[in-house]
Amino acid sequence: MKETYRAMPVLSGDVSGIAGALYELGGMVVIDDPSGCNSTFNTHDELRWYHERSDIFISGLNMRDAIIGNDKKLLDDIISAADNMTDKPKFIALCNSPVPYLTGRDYEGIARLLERKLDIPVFYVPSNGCHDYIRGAGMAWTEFLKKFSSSISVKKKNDGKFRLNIAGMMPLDYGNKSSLHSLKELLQAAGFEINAVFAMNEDYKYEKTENRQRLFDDLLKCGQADLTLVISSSGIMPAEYLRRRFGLPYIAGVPFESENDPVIRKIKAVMETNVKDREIRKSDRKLLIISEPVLGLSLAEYAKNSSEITVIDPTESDYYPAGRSIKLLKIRDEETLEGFISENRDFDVISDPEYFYLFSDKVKKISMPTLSVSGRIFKNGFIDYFKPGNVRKLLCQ
Amino acid sequence: MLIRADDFEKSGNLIRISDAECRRTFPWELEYNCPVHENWNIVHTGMLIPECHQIYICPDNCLRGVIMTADEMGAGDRISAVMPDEEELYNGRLERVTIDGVIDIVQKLPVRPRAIQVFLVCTHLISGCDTRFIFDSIKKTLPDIYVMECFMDPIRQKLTVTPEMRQRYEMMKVLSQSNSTGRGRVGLSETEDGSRIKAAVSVLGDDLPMNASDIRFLTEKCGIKLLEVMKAKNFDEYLEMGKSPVWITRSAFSAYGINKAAKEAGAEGLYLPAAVTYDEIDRELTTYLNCLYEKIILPLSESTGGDSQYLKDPNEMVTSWSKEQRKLTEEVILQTRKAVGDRPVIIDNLCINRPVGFARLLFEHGFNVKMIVTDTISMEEADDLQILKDECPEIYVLNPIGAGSEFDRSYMNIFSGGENDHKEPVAVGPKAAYFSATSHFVNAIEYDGGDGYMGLRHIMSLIDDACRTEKNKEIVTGKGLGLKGVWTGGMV
Repeated sequence: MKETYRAMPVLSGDVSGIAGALYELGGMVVIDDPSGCNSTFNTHDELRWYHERSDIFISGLNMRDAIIGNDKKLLDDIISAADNMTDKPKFIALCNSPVPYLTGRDYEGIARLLERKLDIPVFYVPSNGCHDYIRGAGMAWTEFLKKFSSSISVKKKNDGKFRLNIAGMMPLDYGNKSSLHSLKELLQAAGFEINAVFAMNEDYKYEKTENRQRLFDDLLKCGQADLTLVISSSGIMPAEYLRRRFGLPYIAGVPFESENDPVIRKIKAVMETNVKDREIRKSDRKLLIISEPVLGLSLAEYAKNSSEITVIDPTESDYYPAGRSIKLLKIRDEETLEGFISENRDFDVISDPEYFYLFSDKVKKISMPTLSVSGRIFKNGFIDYFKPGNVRKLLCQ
Repeated sequence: MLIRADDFEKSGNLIRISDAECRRTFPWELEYNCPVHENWNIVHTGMLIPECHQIYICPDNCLRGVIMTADEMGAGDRISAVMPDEEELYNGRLERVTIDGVIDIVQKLPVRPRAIQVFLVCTHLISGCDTRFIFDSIKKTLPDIYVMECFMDPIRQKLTVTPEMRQRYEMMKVLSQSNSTGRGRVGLSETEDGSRIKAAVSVLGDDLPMNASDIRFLTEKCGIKLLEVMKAKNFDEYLEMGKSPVWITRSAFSAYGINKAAKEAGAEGLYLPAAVTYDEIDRELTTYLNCLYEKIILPLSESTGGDSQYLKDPNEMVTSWSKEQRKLTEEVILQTRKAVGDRPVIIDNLCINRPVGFARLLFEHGFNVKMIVTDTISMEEADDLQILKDECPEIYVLNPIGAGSEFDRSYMNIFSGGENDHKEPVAVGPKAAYFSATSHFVNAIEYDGGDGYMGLRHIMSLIDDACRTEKNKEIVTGKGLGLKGVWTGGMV
C-alpha cells in the first residue's frame, strides 16, 4: 500500500515549511490546529527556536469550535496576541491544517477582517497538513511576495555588478549554520553580489530584531536582482513568481565551487561567460542520490563521471528540468522505493541515514543528513555544501 | 534588557496567585510551544509495553512528530504509520485505508507483535468515521494480537478525555482482557487456580520507575512485591501484572483508567498522586496501607513474609511512620533552605506534579518562592491554592503556553531588586529553568519517580544540588527525559 510507512522516514510537513520559511521575517505565523504542529516544528524541524524569538503560534482549536465554525474566537485570539506583542508584527500569516481544511474555514475572509482591525498585512498560506515542507515553504514565500508586491523595488543599480537572489535557503535543507556564510563567500568569489536571501540570516540571536528588519527589507529589494538562484525546490515557487511578475530569470542548482562549477557556469552563461568542464567522482560504481531534487541533481551534475547516477526525489517538488542528463525519479512511497531498490543493485547510495534501513548491508551508504528528514538526530553531520572541498569529500567517499 | 513585571501582566500570561483559579487558570487563546520537551508523550509511554508495536494513521504534519519521537529514542522499529493522502480525508475511503493500512503493516513486520496500539486522529473524528467499525475490523482480522484502541486527538483534549488518558486506560485494559493462565513469576504467591497473584501490587500508568518512594519501601517491608511495567521483559510478564489484586498509579493521566480497568479485572485500583504536604502524604499512605491490609495481608493471614513491624494496623503504622519521617524530612528541608538562601525559587508542573502544594510547603519553610510555571492548576490543589492566596498572594503564576510568554526569557529580572542585586533563581523543573534562564535547576520530571516523605527529601536534595552546581541550560530541549535521545544545542 502506498500509504503505509514502516521504515521510510516521513518528511517535514507543509506547516513546518511555512513556519521555517517565515521564521526570521518579523511576522507572526498562526497555525490553525488543535495541538502538535508547533511542537513537531520546534522539536524536529527547527533549530533556531531555543536561541531566537519565535512568533509562531497555534490556535488550540477544539472540537466544539471546529464543528460550529467559531471564526470569531480565532479572530479575537489573533487580535489579542498581536496587541500584546512588544513589537508589532510586520505581517500575520495564517496556515491551515487538516481539521479546518475539512470544515472549510474561510481564511481569506478572516485575513481581510484581521487587516481591517489590526492595520497589519495579513495573508493566508493555503496549507492543509497533508503535504511536505517543499510545498509549504514555497507557498509561504510566494504569498509573502504577493502580499508585498507593490512594495517590491525593481529599480536596478547601474554599477556593473551582477546581483543574485538566493531562494530556498532554510535550515530544513541547509541545517549547517555556516552554510549561508559559505555560500555568500563562494558566490562573491565567483564575482556575484548577493541581493536577497529567501529567507534566513547568517547570524541569529534572541534580541536581534534589527536582523529581522534587514531580512524583511532585503526581500522587498528582490526585484533589483539580475537572477534568482534556486538552491532548493522550495525556492522554485517564489522564483517563478518573480519571473512572471517582474521578468526576473532564475536557474535552479547548487554551486559547490566558485570556479569550474556547473551551476556557476550556468549563472555565467546568463552573463555570457564560459568556463571549462571537469570530473569529480572517479568511482565507476553506479550512484543513487536520495534528495530534494535541486540539490540532488546539482550533486549528480557536479560528480560528472561516466557511471550512471540516479536521483530519487522523495518530496512533492514539481521541479523536473527538461534536457537534463541525469535520471530523476519521483518516488514518495515506501512500496515503490523498495521495489526500485530490489530491482537495481550494485550501486552506492548518498542519502539521509534514515533511508539506510531500506538498503541491504552490501550497499555502500554515504551519509548526507538533512533536518527535513531525520530532524536533529544527526545534526552534527549537517553538511555545509558551500565550503570549499566539502562536496568533493562527500562524493569521493 | 530589564523587564518589568507590569509588562508581563499586561499580556495576561503572568498573573498573581491571588488572581489564579483552578482548571481554566488562563484563557484558551493562541498557544506558544516552548522548546522544553523532557516530558513523556504518548509515543514514549506506549513503548513501555514490550513486544508492542505502535501504528499511527494521520496526515504528514502530525505524523512527523510521532515518528521522530520514536526515532530519537532509538525505537524507530517499533512504530509504523499509515499516511492517507489529501483526497482520502474526504472521499469516504478513510476507514478502508485505515483498516487495510494497519493490516498491511502488521503483515510486513519482520516479527509479529503481541500487541499493537492503533492511533486514530482528529481527522477520523471530524470526517465522521465509524471508529468502532475500524477497530472491530482490525481485531477481527488480527485475532492473535491485542489491539489497543488509542486516539491521538488533541481536538478533544480540552473538552473531554485526553489522548494520554485514553491510551493509559487501553494499556491497562489489556490486563483485564488477558486470558493468560500461565504461572506467575518465581517468588509470587498465587491462588490455586493461578488466576490472581496475591502478594503483589502492580504499578500501572506511571512513566518512571518508583524511586525514593514511601510506597515502594512500605510495600516491600510488608513482604509484597511491586510489579512495574518498565521492568517487564516481555509481553507475558506484562500480562502477569494483571493478576495482582491491587493496581496503583501516581499519574494524573492514569487516574481516569485505573479504577475502570481494575474493576473490569476484579482488582482494586488506587490513584495515589505524588502529594507534597505532610497531611496529604499521610492520608494517601493510610488509604494505600488499608487497601494492602484488606486485599493482601488479611487474606494471606498476614503470612506475607514481611517485617512484622510493618504488618500492624495500617492507621497505627502511618502514625508512627509519619512521626519519624516528618522529623527526618524537616531536617533535610532546613538544610536545603540554608543552601538556597534568599534566591528566588521557580517551580514548574513538569517536575512537581503538585506545584502549588509544593510552593506552599516551601513558603511555609521560609523559601523565597516567586513563581509557578503551569498553564493550569488542578482541582486537586484547590486547598493549597486558597492558602497561598491568603498567605502569599504575591507569588506569580506564568502560563508557559501563552502567546508571547517567551518574548524575553530574562524573567529573573523581575525578581531582583535591580541589576546590582542580581541573584540567579533556582528552578525546580526544566520549564522553570527555561523561563527563568537559570543554570541552577533541577532537571527532573514527574517528581523524579518519587512519592511520600522519601520523594520529598529526594527533591530537596536535588534542589540543594542545583544551588551548588550549574547545568547546561540547553539540556532541557531533549525529548523524553531518561530515555535514549538527543538534544539540540541549536544549529551546528
